Amino acid sequence: MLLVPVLLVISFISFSLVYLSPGEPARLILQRELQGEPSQVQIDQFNHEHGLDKPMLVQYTSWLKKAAVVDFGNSLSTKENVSVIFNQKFYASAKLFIVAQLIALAIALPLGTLVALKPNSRLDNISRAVALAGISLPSFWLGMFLVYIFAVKLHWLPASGYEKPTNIILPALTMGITGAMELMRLTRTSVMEVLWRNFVRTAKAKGLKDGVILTRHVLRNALIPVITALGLRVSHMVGGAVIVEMLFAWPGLGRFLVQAANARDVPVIQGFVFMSALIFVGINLVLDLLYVFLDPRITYTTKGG
Amino acid sequence: MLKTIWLGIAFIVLLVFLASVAPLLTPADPFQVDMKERLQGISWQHPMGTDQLGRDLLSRVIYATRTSITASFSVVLACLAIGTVVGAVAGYYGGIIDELLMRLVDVVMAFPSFILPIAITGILGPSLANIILALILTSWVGYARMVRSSVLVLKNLPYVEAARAMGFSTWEIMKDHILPNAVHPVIVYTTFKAGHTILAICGLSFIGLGAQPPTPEWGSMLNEASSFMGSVPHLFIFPGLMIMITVLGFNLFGDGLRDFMDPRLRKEFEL
Repeated sequence: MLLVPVLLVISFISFSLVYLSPGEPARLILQRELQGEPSQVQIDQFNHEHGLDKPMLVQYTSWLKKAAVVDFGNSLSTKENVSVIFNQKFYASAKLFIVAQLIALAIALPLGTLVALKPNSRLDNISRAVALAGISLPSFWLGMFLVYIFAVKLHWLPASGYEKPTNIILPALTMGITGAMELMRLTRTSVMEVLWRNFVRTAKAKGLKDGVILTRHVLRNALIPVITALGLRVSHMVGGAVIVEMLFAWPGLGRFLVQAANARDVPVIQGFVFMSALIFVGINLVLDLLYVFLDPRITYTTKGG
Repeated sequence: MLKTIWLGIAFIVLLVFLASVAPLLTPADPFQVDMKERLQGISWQHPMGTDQLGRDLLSRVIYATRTSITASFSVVLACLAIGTVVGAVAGYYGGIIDELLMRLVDVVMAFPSFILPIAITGILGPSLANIILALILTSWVGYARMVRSSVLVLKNLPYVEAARAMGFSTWEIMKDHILPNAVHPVIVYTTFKAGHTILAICGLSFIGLGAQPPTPEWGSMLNEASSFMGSVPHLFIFPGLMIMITVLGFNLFGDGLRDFMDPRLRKEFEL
């Protein structure tokens, strides 16, 4: 129930962000379109056309009414419908995000489990050092290195773009490698915690094979924190990926938002900020439900703080 | 574990030292343009080579330490101040005040990372000051949550009740009895936060929203270097290396500090 007022405030913030603008948005947009200083008449006309001359609260309520049916108007620069653009960009971002997280999991799960089985071994210490260095590594720097090696020197892969299927490899690797570091340590700790539980000993006593114990009993329980971390990362799909998207000219949400913010494309900023917050809130909700599926002991019948 | 703390401290002290005495150390003026000397390789005169405008890269990299350290510390200190006040007030008074403040925190947290900073700096205009402002506006909430949860526990402990019974004012109870006991997790969080903030500022500068040329800043230096990647790779190697070393220093320090202060904290801040 508390979700509704929070969502309302989110929508108000998303809407009113553009009022922070030091200059009138109309002047800035017209300057670009006309390649010169617009007259006051042109500014007034623009404001009237886009309803920018009405009081802010009136504008907000009419914006909110449309936002409720996912209509944020048209982009001022490309004239396309904001929701349509959002869908396209969301698809591109999601594709990159999913491939990157699969790479991260493919690195993190086996390595994290392996070092958890041999804590404080040399391999464990190396992985700890690598993880610490890895989370300190700026993703865009790693990306530049990958471009330098695979695109500039070896000419194996394209440095940027979207059209070819090979375009996704370098940005996904960049995000995947930086993302794997944190997950690897997380997998290690949660596997180690589960390994000492009684049910693992029971499974061993029953004579189950090690592989079965690991996959059916240990990993299933150890995965909960890993999934939480992945879920929190969905927020990075829109925000954190922006730098990688800019570096590789990947047409995702973050890159488009930066372009819109630079161009003061009011409807796009409002729509993108609101939609991404909405999706983030929704994903957190889905995650909470997913825990119930993974760990049937968790219930949401009693209300907690 | 003490080893990591000392290693981290050594890194940080070295960087703060570099930042504070930058003018004494740099071999050349970081703003001096010399087109005849542009894109030079590594030499005795220019240990890291020169950039696309012929400026000495080593001098710029050292000056950039200043930019990053001051920007990051301003963000972290402001967040620490705002977050502690909000968290302490919400936790101590509870009730409607707590409810309102925490809903505000929920709202700020509902926006995915970087979305608000990008929108805010895009609208206010790209600059280092606006990036700092935008990051403060969006990252105080972590402190607020953390301080609030500590205060919630501490305020009901017998020794605080005793202090209240002895007639100490709310301010004194807060300052002398509650906050000193809530400080450990905050210190660890601050160390990591300083590193993260440097990464964020460099990242946003890299995409053109933060520090503007000719300000020496690692992120924007990397951005400028991207056009010359094929011919002069050292232009992007050195600034990036500095970012990594700096952030690594803070992470090492935080990691060691966490283990040193309280082994139980490990779970909250696990890598």
